[in-house]
Amino acid sequence: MQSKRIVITDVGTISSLGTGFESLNEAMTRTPQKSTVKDYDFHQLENDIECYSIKDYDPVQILGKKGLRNKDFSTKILLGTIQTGFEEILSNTDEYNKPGISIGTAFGSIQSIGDFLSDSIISGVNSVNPQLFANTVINSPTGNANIRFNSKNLSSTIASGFNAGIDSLIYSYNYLRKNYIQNIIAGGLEEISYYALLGLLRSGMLSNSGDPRPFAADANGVIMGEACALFLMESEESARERGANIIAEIAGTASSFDPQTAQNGKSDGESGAFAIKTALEEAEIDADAIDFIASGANGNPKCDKFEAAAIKKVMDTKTPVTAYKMFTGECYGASGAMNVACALSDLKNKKISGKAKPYQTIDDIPLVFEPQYKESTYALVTSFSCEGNCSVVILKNVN
Amino acid sequence: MNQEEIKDTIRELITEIAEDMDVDEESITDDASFVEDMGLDSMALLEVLATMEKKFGISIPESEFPNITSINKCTDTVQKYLSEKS
Amino acid sequence: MLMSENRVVITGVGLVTPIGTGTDVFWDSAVRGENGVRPLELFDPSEYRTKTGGEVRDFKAEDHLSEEDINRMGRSGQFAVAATRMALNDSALKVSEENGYRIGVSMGTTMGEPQILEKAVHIKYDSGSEQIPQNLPRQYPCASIPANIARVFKIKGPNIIIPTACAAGNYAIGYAFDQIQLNKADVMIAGGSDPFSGIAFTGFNRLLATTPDICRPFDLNRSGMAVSEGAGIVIIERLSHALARGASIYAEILGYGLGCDAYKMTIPDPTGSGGIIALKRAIKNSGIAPDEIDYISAHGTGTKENDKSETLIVKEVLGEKARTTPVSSIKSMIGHTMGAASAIEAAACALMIKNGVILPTINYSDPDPDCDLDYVPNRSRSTDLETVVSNAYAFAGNTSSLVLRKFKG
Repeated sequence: MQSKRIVITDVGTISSLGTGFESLNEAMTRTPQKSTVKDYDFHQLENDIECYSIKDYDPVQILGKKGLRNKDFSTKILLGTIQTGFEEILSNTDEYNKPGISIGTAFGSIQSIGDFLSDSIISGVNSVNPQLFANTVINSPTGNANIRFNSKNLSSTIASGFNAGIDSLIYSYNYLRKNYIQNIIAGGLEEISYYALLGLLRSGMLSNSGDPRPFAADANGVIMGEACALFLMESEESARERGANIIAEIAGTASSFDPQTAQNGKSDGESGAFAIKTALEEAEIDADAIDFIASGANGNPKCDKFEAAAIKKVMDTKTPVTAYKMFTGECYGASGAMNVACALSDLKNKKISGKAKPYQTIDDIPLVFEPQYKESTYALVTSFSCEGNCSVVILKNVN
Repeated sequence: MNQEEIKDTIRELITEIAEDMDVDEESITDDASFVEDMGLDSMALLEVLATMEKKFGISIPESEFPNITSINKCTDTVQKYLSEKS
Repeated sequence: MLMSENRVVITGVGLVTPIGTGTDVFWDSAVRGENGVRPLELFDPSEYRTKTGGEVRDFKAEDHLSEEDINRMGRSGQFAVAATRMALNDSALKVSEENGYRIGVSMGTTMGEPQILEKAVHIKYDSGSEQIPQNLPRQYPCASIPANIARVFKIKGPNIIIPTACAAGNYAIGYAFDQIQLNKADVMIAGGSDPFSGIAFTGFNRLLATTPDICRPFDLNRSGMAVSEGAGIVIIERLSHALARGASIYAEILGYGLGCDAYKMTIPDPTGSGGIIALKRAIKNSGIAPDEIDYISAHGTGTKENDKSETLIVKEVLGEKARTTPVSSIKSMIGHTMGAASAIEAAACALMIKNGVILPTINYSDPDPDCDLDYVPNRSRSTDLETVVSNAYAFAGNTSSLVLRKFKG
């Protein structure tokens, strides 16, 4: 039996690369700009921390004043991304036929959870604002989006760490292949929270040089970013019926887990290689059909080594490898989805993006430091976390 | 704290909540019913209760929850528990 | 009828609940109608209006985990790994080099490891953030729960966690079911886990949603939900795989349905719109008729709002048949175990089908005119069960229904 083809027909995004897909396309031609964070409502970081934050987004301008009180920043980013990216389909469908919503996030509402807890410690457990308790479930941004855009079709949240953004796409791909509903707005969301930063600082994962160097032989950690990237996913048939523009096809997906990485960070990359092979099989293509690899490398030496090993086991050693985290920082639960957005941008603009001074890479991974201009058909998007999760999506340019 | 000061504080909170719910400014009066005239939901009423406790440093028993109905009623409730406290 | 390659069955169960750790202990207590909602002992409730809840008091981590593993994870992960070990033993499934990639993990939770975050923030206030142990932050995120299961048991297949609050277990089991039907795995370890959370206890208290004493779902004088903790794991498996290895089968999973209220964050839609969508979809996806349903395991939290709208949902979808269909809530006994609730309930449904007994809604005395169904009050009931539905709803409006059926070859 021929399986349904699942396609992407729209993109919405808010990140340090701006609001909207056009803005992201344009920002990927420039040198990315970092900013700093330090002060939060209940806490202060000891020093300014460099990161790729969302600076120019004004929720009230996009969403109006109504209904934003008591909503956390994560929720406001998500609502703004949906409003700016998918207004057409949302306004042309009734509540039972609006797209479902599936959001990946690593830390979810941790800022709201931690602040609710901090408030209860400072003011007493009976002095907290009950309305803010609603923000403490990890599915709160997704649920808020269903409420605001009146979608009763699906509200799913995926929290598989670094991989959550890409796993949300895989979840939706599977959900659509089961014919449960017609279309889903799927992707990833992550804000830069005090609590996540504190955790990264304590566990020594942040780069102290402030320079993310994915796959660098001498990399020393990650730079945090925040972002939301979402995609309208539906069957090819559904897209054709409603005359929608098809941006790309999701030709194959796979996920696996590496217990060895989770146990002690020492992996031969076999589980990651298995995920890549499985996705290639699903897409019914060979490894050499892949035009470029959109890797999840972020400058964490253990993570990157594991990813390099997996890629080397399966792929042609000359296939160019990008690390879009040069542009966006490590956006955790949003990063897989941001990688897909950046790969779609490259497929569309007939190039393979990079922006860094060349450096020596682990295992001589052919990392793209300067843009290469060429037309591509297949992009392999990988996300391999140091917690052990391996997720792969293959995008096919159908234009 | 006198009655007017209490009322101003409560009015400020109610206005903030009502604005967020797009309630017509004219319907926000001291006598207007939170639920019938302004359309506040039970969550908003719980926030009003919690905020009054926090702002005025009092503890309002759950049995008073049905009396969280208007700016005037709230002012009475706060005054009652402020005087009990002192 | 589905082809046998696509049929999915439950072959193992693992439970950690306030009325017992271990399937046999749980089942014996539940059949007796034991009340697990008691004055809190592990958590200090002195500052709160409510002083009761559900605690798992017989759980000893060292009975189920190595010392190294205990130190590597929070209470949620410990519950989850312990329940997985029980479920794997129950189904007599051996994980090996050969089948590792064909076994996956799909879990549900509300907020990951809240006790870890609580610990870290308290350390920050008490002695400064530099005192937070270096290995603590990594233990917090939701992802650590399925990752710990896969790490401990060397499982290499798909690994996911779906934190859709109090409906998370059903979402996780539904996704696991799809993974098998789409041939991404042969076996999935599916379920949910949540430890007692001070954050949740604070929030539900402030929402005036917690009962001051015991949990009385569907009763006229029901006074709220009881914050609780636990984990439920089911081993779900492709039928052909289960038959080939001679596994014993609890029940078949026919399908599931999801929906969303899109109404309010913390209040269910009084018209039950999302629950109706989920139940109708579950029935359609399972290829059954509404009047084939023999029993419904209710979300039944014991709040005024939930129990009224859930009754409406059952009546709307089942029609006249609703009056004679038993509906019960085991939350009356174990309280609300949050992200674990619907996983524990799915496991309980599998046990009910296997044993031919419907578990009761305890603490029931006065009928509510708004809740006018057969809630199996106070005493468990022996009866042959063919087709069973388990409902779960959540904060943020998530709704879900899962359909199980007695296995017939």
